[in-house]
Amino acid sequence: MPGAYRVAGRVATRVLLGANDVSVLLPSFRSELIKTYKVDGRRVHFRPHGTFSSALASHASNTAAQPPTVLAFGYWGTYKRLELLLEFWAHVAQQVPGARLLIAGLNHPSAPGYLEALQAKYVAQTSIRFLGYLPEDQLPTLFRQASVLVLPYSSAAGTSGVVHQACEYGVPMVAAGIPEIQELAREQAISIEFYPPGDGAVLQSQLVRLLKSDDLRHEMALKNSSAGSNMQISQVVGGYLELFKARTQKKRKASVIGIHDYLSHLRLWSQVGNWLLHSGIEERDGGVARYYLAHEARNKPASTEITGYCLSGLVVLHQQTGEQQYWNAAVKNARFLIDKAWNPSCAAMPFEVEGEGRNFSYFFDNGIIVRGLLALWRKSGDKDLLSMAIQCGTSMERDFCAGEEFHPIITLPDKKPLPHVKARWSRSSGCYQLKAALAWKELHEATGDDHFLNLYRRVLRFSLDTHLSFLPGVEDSRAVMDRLHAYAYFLEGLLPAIEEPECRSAMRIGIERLANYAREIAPEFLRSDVMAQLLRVRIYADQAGVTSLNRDTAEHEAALIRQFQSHHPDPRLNGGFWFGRTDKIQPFMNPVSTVFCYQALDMLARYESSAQHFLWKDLI
Amino acid sequence: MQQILERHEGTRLSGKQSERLKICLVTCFPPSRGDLNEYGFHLASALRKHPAVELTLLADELRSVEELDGFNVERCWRFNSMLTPARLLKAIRKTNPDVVWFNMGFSTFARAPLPAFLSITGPAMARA
Repeated sequence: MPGAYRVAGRVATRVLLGANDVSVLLPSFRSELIKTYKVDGRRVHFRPHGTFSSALASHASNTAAQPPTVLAFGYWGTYKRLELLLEFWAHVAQQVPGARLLIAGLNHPSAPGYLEALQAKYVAQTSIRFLGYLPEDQLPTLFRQASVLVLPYSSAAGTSGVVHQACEYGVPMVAAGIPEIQELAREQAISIEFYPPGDGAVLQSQLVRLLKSDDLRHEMALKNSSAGSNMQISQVVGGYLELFKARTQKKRKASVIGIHDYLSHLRLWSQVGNWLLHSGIEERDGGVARYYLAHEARNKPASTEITGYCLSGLVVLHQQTGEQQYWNAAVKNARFLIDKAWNPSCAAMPFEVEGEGRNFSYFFDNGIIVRGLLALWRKSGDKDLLSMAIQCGTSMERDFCAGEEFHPIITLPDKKPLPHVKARWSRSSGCYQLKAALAWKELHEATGDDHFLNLYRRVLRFSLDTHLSFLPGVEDSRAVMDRLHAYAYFLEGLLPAIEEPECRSAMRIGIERLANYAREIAPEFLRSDVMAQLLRVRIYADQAGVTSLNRDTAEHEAALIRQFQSHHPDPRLNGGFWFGRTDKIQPFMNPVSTVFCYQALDMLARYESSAQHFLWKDLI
Repeated sequence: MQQILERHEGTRLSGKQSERLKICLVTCFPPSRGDLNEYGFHLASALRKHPAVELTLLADELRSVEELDGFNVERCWRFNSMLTPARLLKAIRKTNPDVVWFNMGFSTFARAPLPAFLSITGPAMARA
């Protein structure tokens, strides 16, 4: 009989593969389909299941759950079985006074009467409660009561929706060590304690250990919450939609994005990479100059902020090409920031490392530097990077705090704020600082310290309250173009919170305003970075379902961006992007413009041709 | 295996770019408590937020139905019915979508072997 089932399963799978595309929820399932059924890998996709709540992370503490509560949740009686758990529960309850076991869910349709029989058997144990079916709106309360979720399965039919829900609410888990759940934990960095299937003693000791340790649960809760926030269902659905778009536009695309475009994309990589590494914009010590002044044939001094931006850009380039040279250069940038730039005696990151620039520190620049360091840290795990990022992020609060706002600039070493100059955005506080506050959001994810998250939320609140009055802000239209650059920083800073209605609406309005102003001022003055920022947020907004990307507009903006790229026999001027143009190109070749423009063009190409999902943390 | 997606060969978007992507999501859908209804609900909720998507749910029949607000639901197939593939195809033809997305496992449409088998031919047949 098992043989017959196997044959039937194979036939059924084969029939299902008659679809154009098949998506499965574990990478190993995809490999299996490709290997056993010889399916074209381009038609079989792995996509994570996704988590549902948009209010993730905020309840990821899991130390206050009283009384100690173990939750079991699902459709019971087939491969999800409660016998072992119930048999050993009395020992758990004995060792953890006041502990209770909540069993939620129904019988599986194939196992009628299963729960009722168990309920009758354990009726005397008052610490066990059978809750039955709970509607969707009661699940938040249920999961928030849970100290630990238990998954007592004998096998699995695939990924686990329950595991994903537990991540959403930052709940620690104990599970039977079956391959699918182990793979899921590994793939999505979910923290689960396992017990050998069928081994009740280990199950019991794992539960007791977790229930007794606030620290351990807290640590697991944070990790799971962070895993949950990295795979929200909106992101998963965004991936599906990209595939649909690619499929339904296949014919059109064949003429639009052909081999020529692919090759020109490859060229873009190497041109930008070459300029960053070999044009001399990066000094020997790993610091990166603010500009190359083409007329004077010299670099402006190295800037810590620009080095941070360059570092983020190189991490992206390395991720995309796998080329070691980008990795080496990124490490060099980071060492420059840590060893040479950081001023340990006053625990602050100066604006520049030489001359007058040593005497100031910028709030915004610190944020960019933290993000660069963390981008590399996420790949390398080097503790120096994280430690430097934490110190910079701490300085951002300690040294710049001004009530509800943050000073833009302080002096060093005495850390006095410079007077704000309202007409100059970089000399005043404002919604643009939200991009720097992304550093705190990332530090929260890296360290689990809620204080960093609160800081991000504080700047988010302030920025949402003030962003409408940021534009135009000044009369001179060229200065307005400069403020568009800053305003785009605000929009970029919204990305982690893009599921929140207020942020969605701010993004929608903001893109519209940014695009309109840019269009109006462009004949007189246009900055390449502004166009790149606009195109990037358009793509993120489309992905999040905030506004849909109009292909013609995107292509038009990409064409404008391409016009800023320099092709020149002099290697100092070849491959980078110019800062801006009035009636003619302005003679500054700028690393930030270059990495922004690169990312915008790269994202658009990927958006059009593949099913890639863009993460906010990858935004340079 | 949980989801199968499917597309009609017609390239609706090839003419006008501004036209919305028309998606049929075949799924159990609340208040039904059928297989994967919860996941279907969350998929539909996320899809509904996209301005560029026009979503129709092809869902399982219920005795009495009070549909959730804001979803375009057509109840056009029944659990364990041999007629499911034919009825689905009819509904798909009527809606004429760009994409048909099956949110399914092997036992989503039926428990009895024959209807279950017939039902999983849906995705392949929808290509026609």
